[in-house]
Amino acid sequence: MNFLKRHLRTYAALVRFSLSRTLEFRVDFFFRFFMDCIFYALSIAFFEVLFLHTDHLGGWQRHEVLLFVSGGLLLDGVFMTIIARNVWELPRLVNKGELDFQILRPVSPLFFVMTRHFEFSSLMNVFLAIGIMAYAVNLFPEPLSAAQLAGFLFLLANGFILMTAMRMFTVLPVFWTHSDLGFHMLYMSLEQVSERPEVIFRGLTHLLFTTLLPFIVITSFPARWFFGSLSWLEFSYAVALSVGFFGLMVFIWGRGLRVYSSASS
Amino acid sequence: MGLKIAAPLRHSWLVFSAETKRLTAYRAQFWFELVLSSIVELLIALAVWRTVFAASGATQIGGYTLEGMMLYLTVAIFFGQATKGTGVGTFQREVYDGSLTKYLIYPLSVYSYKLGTFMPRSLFALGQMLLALAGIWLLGYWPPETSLSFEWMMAGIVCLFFSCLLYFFLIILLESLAFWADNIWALSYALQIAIVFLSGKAVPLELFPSWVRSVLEISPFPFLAYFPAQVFLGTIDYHNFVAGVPVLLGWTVAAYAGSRIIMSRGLHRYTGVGQ
Repeated sequence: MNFLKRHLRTYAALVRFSLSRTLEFRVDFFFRFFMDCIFYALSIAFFEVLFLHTDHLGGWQRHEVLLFVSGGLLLDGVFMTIIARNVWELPRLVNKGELDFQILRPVSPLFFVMTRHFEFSSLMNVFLAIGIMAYAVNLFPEPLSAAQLAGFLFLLANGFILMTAMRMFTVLPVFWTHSDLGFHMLYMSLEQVSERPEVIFRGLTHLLFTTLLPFIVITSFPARWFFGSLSWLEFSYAVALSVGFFGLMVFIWGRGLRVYSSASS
Repeated sequence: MGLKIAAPLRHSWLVFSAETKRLTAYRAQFWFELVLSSIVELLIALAVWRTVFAASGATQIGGYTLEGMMLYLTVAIFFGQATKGTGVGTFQREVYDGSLTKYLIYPLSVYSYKLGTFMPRSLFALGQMLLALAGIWLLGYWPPETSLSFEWMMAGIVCLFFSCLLYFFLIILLESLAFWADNIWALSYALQIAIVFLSGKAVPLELFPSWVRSVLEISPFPFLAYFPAQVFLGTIDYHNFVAGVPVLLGWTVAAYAGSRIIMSRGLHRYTGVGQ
């Protein structure tokens, strides 16, 4: 209990520090908000252009695709708010030996490294994504059930854990390779898979993106639950996968810490 | 006069060589990422358009067959990667942390240095594209309605070179705003995101609504992927090519002049904090 309290207090302090920093760079705050707005607008515009030339996408109607996109945007917003910058900075901490200062603190080093920065500018976009989601839900002709919404939000949270683990997999190799960005570029390309509906992938690519690189599970599974086309078996598989991937990430982190030898201190 | 031009070019060449070595320092990772990320991008494009063609039941969309669409996107994706270069975003950081000072006290132009770091990725992307096109041809997916000619390919590569310059100057122009605002990487990134969609790298511009195309025609965006790709493939008619080249050059010169004006104004405010 004390362990949990200590971490919650630490997190509250980190969020306060992030807020102070955000207030120092107010122009940057609006630029970041503007950047995410452009990203959101173009993510929707891409599918709007496709729907000018077809009335469905592998059976998914326009409102269904919009709900799928809004789920992805919400995940992106939450990830950018809580995790993204911390993962981005990990290679620098390892290569410059600055990780020393994080592993000496009386809290979990992994927790501290992954939560140091809280991006308030991205938090604004979380609300924007929720607004788009509400609009998309409103386009569905059938009334919304509690189970539909609860399962959808639960699978999005599950997708967030999976996303965090997968993003960490791309930077954890820096403990061994000492490269400047890890496999960041590759992840950015692969991440596009989660921005496209599951129905466009077939055969081997579908198998790959639901198992080894489960980007489809992150965003398409929640949407399919909402449409009523996701089985309980697939639901359980998604949960097991995020638990397994997160466990593996913690294991690799531990191994990485063992080989970490600091750089300058 | 000759010496004045030769020195920046020599600097650019030296930086270009050093940057190429830096990019390939972690050789296995570099090639793994470069090749795999391109394959993923092409696979996703194929998956999307195969689904759209199947769902619409059409054999042609916006004048493209599925094979024609994939050929266009292959060229546009690699041209998009080429124009993007490397080192984008470093200029604003140098203004912010004061490391821009090195260009001011040494006989080294910001432009020749930055261009040298920008171009190596473009060359890799061009080489990759030629390999990808060879792959499409060998696998038998080449659209019968398109045949490459040496003249159009060369014209396309020359246009691509100017597209790289245009992108470079646009980014420098925008990042020069860092002299007034502390941190503007997000603005620079927003431009990069907009370019991916509005340059025709994700969807050919023929598929956009006509009002969007009318707006884009008076912007530099189509010249960053769509125009050079059409020229390379020879799918542009001669009249549009002749009309488009001066516009591409005009945008490049305008972006260069704009970046110089903003930078020279900004340098009056520059304090070299921290250096």
